[in-house]
Amino acid sequence: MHHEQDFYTELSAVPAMPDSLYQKFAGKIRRREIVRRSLWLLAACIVVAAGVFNYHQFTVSRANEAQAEASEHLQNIGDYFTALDVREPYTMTSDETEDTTDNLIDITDYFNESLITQDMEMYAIVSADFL
Amino acid sequence: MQELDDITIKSAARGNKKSFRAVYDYYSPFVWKLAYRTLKGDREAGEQVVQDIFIKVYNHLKGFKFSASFSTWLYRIAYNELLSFLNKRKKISARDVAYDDSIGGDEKNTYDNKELVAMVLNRLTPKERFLLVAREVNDIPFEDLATVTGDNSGALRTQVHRIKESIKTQFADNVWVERSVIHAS
Repeated sequence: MHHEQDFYTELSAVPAMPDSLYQKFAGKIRRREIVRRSLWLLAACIVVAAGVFNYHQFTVSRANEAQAEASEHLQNIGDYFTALDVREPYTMTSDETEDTTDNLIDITDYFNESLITQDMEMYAIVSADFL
Repeated sequence: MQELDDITIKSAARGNKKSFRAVYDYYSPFVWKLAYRTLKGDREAGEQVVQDIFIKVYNHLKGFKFSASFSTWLYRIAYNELLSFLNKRKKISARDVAYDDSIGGDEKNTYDNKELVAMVLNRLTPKERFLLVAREVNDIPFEDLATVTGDNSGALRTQVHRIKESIKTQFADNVWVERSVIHAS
């Protein structure tokens, strides 16, 4: 027959822990550390690659935009020199048309009067020479 | 259980490998006993769980606040790790059944002490085995065990008392002889 005390004595008598256990544990830690660092490195590479790619895209689009802007400016300058900008048709309103017509009449009258006066003056000078 | 000095533990937490080795050397025998007995003498599983426990300790040591004792914190990790290991590995229980049958099939009424311990532990739940070894082998105070398991220390005291009473009854009734007779018939 066994005694209860034998049980507790045997319960405490655990076989010694294997010496290699720490080496196994250290190996696991090392492997996990390598995997962890590799994943970080991979993530960093992805971030850097994405950054470089985006920067490249940004530079290209910026260059295209600048080129379009420059060509627009050149076009404006060209238009200025060739006076294309002032050859645009201009449509007047009815009031403006009326005013303009009146003004033209006034101007015509003025010129006519001026011409008559000028003719008369010329006639007087020529007549005086004859005489 | 006497604690390792805080300087070594803090140094290990800062990543000093020698200090961590010192922490491992000091505490691993206690953890090994717990794991080995809670896993009912499964040496291979015990080694695996001890490694897993110390990997967790290594990974979380920086977060240890020193508000509780280090051993309590370590035992809490060990407790959770052991129970989750047992939950994951159902084949351990299958192994236990095989072990029981081999003992019973011998038609003997006397067992050596190793078989005796195995048979008694087989009748306990994982938590009961953990509590028994923590109290009787590692001598962990009930207050610390309460922190480890998350139970009331009074309830744990009662539980351990019941476990010991049950073991006492098994020896008083000499159930091992009866058991062998049943198996023989």
